[in-house]
Amino acid sequence: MGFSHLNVSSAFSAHYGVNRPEQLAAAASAMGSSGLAITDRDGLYGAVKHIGACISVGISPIVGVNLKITGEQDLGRVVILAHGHNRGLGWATLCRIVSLATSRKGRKKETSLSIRELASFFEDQANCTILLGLESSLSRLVLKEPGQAKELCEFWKEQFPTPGSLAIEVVNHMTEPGLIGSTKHARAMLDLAAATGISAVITNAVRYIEPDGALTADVLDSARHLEPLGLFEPQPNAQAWLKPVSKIAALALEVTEDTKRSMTLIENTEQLASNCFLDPEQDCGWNQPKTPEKSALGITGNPFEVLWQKTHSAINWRYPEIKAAELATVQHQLSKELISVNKLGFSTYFLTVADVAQMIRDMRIRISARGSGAGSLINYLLGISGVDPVAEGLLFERFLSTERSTLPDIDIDVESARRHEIYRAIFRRYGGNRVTLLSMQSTYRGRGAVRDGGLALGLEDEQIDEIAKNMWRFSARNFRTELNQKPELAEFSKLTETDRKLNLLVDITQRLDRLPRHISMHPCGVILGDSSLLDLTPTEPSGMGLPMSQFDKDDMDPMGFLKLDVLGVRMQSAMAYTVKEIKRVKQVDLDLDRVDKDDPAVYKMIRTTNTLGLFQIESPGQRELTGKHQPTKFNDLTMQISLFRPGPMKGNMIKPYLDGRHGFIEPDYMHRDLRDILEESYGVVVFHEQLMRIMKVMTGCTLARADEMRRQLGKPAKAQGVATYFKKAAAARGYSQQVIDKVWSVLEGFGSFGFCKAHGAAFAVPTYHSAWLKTHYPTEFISGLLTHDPGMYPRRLLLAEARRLGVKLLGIDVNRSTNEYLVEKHDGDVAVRVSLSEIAGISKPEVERIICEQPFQNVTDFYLRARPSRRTLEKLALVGALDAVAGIQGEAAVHNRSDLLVKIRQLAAKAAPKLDANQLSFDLKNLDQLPVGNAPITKELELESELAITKMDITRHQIEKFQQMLDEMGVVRAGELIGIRSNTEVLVAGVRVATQTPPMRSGKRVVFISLDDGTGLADATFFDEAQRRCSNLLFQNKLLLISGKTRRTGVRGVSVLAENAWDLRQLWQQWQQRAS
Amino acid sequence: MEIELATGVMLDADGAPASFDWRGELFLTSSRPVRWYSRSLWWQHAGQAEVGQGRNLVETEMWRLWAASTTGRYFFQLRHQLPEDSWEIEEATG
Repeated sequence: MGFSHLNVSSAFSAHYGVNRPEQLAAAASAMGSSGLAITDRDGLYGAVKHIGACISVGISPIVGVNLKITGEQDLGRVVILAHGHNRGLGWATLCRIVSLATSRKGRKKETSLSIRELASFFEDQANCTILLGLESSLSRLVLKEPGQAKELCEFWKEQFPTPGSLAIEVVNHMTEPGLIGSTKHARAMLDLAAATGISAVITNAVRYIEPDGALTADVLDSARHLEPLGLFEPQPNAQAWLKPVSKIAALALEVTEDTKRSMTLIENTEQLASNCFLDPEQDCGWNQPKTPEKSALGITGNPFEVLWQKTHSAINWRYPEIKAAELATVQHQLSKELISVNKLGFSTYFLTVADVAQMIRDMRIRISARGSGAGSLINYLLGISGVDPVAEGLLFERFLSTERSTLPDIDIDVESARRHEIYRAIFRRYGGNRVTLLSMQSTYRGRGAVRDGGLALGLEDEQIDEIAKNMWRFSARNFRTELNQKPELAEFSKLTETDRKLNLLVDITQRLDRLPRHISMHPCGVILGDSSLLDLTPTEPSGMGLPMSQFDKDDMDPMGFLKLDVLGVRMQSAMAYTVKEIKRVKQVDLDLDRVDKDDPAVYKMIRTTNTLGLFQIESPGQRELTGKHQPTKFNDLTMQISLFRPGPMKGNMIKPYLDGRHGFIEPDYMHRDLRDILEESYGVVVFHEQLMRIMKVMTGCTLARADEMRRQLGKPAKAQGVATYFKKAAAARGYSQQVIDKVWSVLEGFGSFGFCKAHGAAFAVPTYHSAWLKTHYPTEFISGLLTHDPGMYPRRLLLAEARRLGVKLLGIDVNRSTNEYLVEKHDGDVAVRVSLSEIAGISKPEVERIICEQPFQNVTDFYLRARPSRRTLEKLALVGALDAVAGIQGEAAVHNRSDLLVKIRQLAAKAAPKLDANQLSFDLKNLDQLPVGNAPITKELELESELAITKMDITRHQIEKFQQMLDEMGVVRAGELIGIRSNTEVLVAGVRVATQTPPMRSGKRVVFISLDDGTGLADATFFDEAQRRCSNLLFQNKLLLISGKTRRTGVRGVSVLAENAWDLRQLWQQWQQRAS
Repeated sequence: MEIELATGVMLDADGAPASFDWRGELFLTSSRPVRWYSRSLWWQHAGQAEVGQGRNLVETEMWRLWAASTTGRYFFQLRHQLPEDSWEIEEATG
C-alpha cells in the first residue's frame, strides 16, 4: 500500500518546522514512501531543495503551501497543494497564490489571502487542492458546533465549486480525547467529509522527522511567539512526526474503526498524492536555462548570429591596431568560444548580460567584471569585462565548459552608491514579469541560537548577552565541546554544572544550529528570465521595495534561472566621483578604461609602497608584499593580488615566487614543455589556468577536460582517478617517470590552494585605475576616497596621506563645504574641501539646509537661515567652519575664535528670532557685533577640538605637537626607514591606524601594528615576548612610541621587529616636566 | 500528595494494560482502553535536552480504561512514565 505525507513543514517554515528538506526526503524514501510533500508556512522557500532532494532519493515531489485565509470570519490556515503533470499549471497557480499572499508582507501586515482571492485561482479548473485540516477554522467547530461546521463546509463548497478543489484532512495526533487532534476529533472530521461529500485524506501534519524533534519545535514556537516557554499554549504532544505507513494505517483504523474504511481513506490520500506528483522538468522547468525573449533584448533573427555579429564587429574596437598574426589568434579564440556557446545554447544568455552591461554604461555608471568571466574573449568584446584575456593568458574553459550545462556566473562590480538605481533600471528595461531580486535565508549561528534559546527558557537579557558575547567563531552545534575547550567560555562552563537552565541552554542552542531564521534580500543577485518567470518562482517584497524571489542562490541552477551578480563596490564610486571632479574643476574628460596600462609613473608610485587608497593592495600585508615584489607591469598586479589570497598563502607560494623573481634561485620549470606556462610565476604553479595548461600539454586532454579534473583534484574521492589518468597519459606521451612524479606531486597539493587568474586580472583593473588616478590626479582622487570612504583605514589617515602627497586640505567652511569632499580651485592650484558631514552629530536636514542656503553673509545670517542646533553651531565654530563667515581669518582680523564662541553662545542662549522681513536688516546689524578681548584659543586646543568633533586632524598632523621631543629622542620618521640598514636599533612613533592579529600556522599570536606619522606608515611586528612587555598598550593606545630593530624584507620592504612600546602622551608629560 | 502506582502491569499486543495490581488487588481491564498522549512542561524541571531525549521530555503516554477487581469496577487514568517504565495512577473513580 502506497502512502505519501501531504502535510509536511520543513525547517523553511521559519520558527516552526524542524528538519531540512534533504533530511525529510531521505527519511521518506527510507520508509518506502512513493512521494513526499513540502507544505511550508507562508512560502515556497524550501521547495526547490525539496524537489532536488526527492529526485536524488528517487521519490516523487509534491509541493504546497500553508497559508492563512481570511473571510468575514477567520478561516484559519489551510494547505494548498499544486497538481502535477499538467505542464506547470499547478506549479504556476501555486506560485501566483503565494506571491499574492506575500505581496502585503512587511509594514506589519502578515502573509494571508482572502477566500475570494483564493477562489479566483480556481475559476475554470482546479490546478490545486485545498486541504482543510487541524489549523482551519473547521477544526475548531467540528466537535463543539457540528451544525456550524457543516455550514462552513457548504460555504467552502460554494466558493470552490470546481470538483477536486477541496479535501478534508483527517489528523490523529492522539491528543486528550475530545480535544483538537484527538482520535475523536479526527473521526468527527471524517464524518463531516462523508456528510458533505468532500473527499477526505489522512495526513500527520508533520513538523519533525522523529518525536525527538518535538523538543526543538517547542523552542521554535517560543521564538515565533517571542515569548518564553510557558507563556503561550504549547503543542499538545510529540506526535507530529513523519510516521511510517504502518503507523498511519493504525491511526486510520483507530479513527474509522473499520478496516475497509481505513483502507479507503489511505487510498484516497494516495490518489490525491499522485495527482500532485510534480514532473520537475515539465512542471517547473527543471534544469532548463531560461533567458529573456529576443524581443525583450531588442534583437531579431537567430541569437547566435547576433552574437557572432556583435563580437566580430567589436574586434576593431578592442584591438584597434592589431597585427595580422595577432588578429588570427584573436579570431581563432573567438571562434572556439562561439562554438562552445552555441553548442550549449547560451547565446541569448551572453546577449542578455551584454545588454545589461551596456545599459549600466549608458547610465554612466562604472562597471567591471569579476571572477572567471574575465577569461572569456566574448565577454571582453561585448564590454562585459575590461580585461583582454588573450593578452593576459586567461582561459575561457575555466569559465565555461561544454562538460557542464549550467549557466555560468558572470559577476559585475558597479559603483556601490548607484546599485539600487541599476536594479530599478533592470526592472524597467525588461519588465517586472521577467525580473526579480534574489533572496537569501539567514540561518541560526552561535549567537542567534543562544539568544533564542535563552528567550525560550526565560533567561535575563543581560545574562544572555554575556554568554553571546563570548561565542566566537564556532557553530552552535559544537557548543558543548567548545565549552570545555575555549578559555573565554570557562566561566560559563562552570556555571552550567550547577545551574540547570544554563545547562539546558547548551543543549537547545545546539538544536537550533543552522535552522533557517528569516529571509532577506541577497546583497547583489538579480534574476533575469522570460515572461514566464512569475509562473516559476513566487516573489515577495524586499527591503528596498522591489520584489524578490523566494528561492536562494543554490536554487538558481536547478531552476535554470539566470542570476546576475551586480555587486556594489565603493572604490568604483570613489573613482567615478574622482572623474566627475576632474571634469568639473579641470574640464578634462577622462575615460579610465582607455588610459595607458603601461604608464611607468603609475608603477613607480606603487613601488614606493604608499599604496593607501589603492584597490586591493592597501592592507599592511599587501604593502609589505609590494615592497618585496616591486611590480613593473599589469601582469605583476594580477600576480600580486592572486598571491595574497588564503589559498596561495597557505600553499606557501609567495616566497619561492619572490626568490625566483629576484634571482635568488633558479626557477625550476620541471620540464622544458612547461616553461612557457610557468615562466610568469618563476616555476611556481599559482593559477588554475596554469594547472589546466599543464594537464593539456602533458596528457593531451582538452582544456575543458583539464578544468573538470582540476575540480576533481579538490575531492579526495575523485583525485585518485585523476592521478591514474595523468600518470598513464603523460607516460604515453613520452614524459619520464621522474618528471611525471615531480609534476604530479605539485599538482596533487595544488587542489585547494590555487587561484583563478581571470579573477586576479579582473581585480587588477580597478587596482591599476585607482593607482593611475592617485598618480596623476592625487587631489581629486583623495576627494573621491574621502567622499565614498572605501578601504580599511580611518579617514584621518587619508588626510595624512594627502598631506604627504602635497595635496592641499581646506577645513570645513559653512560657505563652501557640502556633504561631499569638493575639489576647489585654491591659490592657482586645487585643494580638497572637508565635508560638513564630518561634524559629529550633525543631522542630515542640518547639512541640507546649510547647502541650500549658502552663501551666508555673517554668523547671524547663518544662524537664522541654516537653523543649526546649539550643539552643531558650537561645534562648527570650534572647528573653524565659521571663521570665514565671521571674518576672523588671517593676521589682520580684529577678533578671534574665542570672541566668536562667546558670540554664538549669546545667540543660542535666546530663542531664535522669527524671520521677519521688516525687522531682519535691523536685527542683523544689532546682532552681528562680535565681542572683543577674549584670550585666543591655542593651536593645540584647536587641534584637539578638531579631533574630538571630526575624529580627524585636519589642519595639521597630530604628531607635530610632539616633534621637538621626538627629534631629541632621535625617533626615525616612517618615510626614512627605507634608507636605514637592516638590523639597526630604531625608535618610531605615530598614530596607530591598524592592528592585526592574523592566525599563524604556528598557532602563536603575532600582532602587526601600523603607525602613521605623516610621512608614511611604519609597520611593526610584535612577537610573544614583546607582546608581554606591552600588550595592553597595543590594543588601547592611539599614540605610540615603538622601539625595535629594522628588518629589510625586500627592495622597498622594511618593517620594525618590535621590542617594546610606550604611550606617547605619557612620555610627553614627563618630557615637558623635565623641560620646565 | 503521594503518587500511587499500578504494579505488575501486563500489556496486550498493542501495548495497552490488560491487568495490574493496585492497593493489593488484581485489576483486569474491562473496556477498550483509550490511549492518548499528554505533554509535560520540560523546561520547568529538565537539566538537559540532548538529542534523543526529546520525546520523553515532551510527551507522556496516557491510558483511559475501566478495570475490575473482585471488589469493584473503577475508571482509571494511567500515566506511563518513561524511561522509568512506571505506571502512575492519575485518576481512579469507582
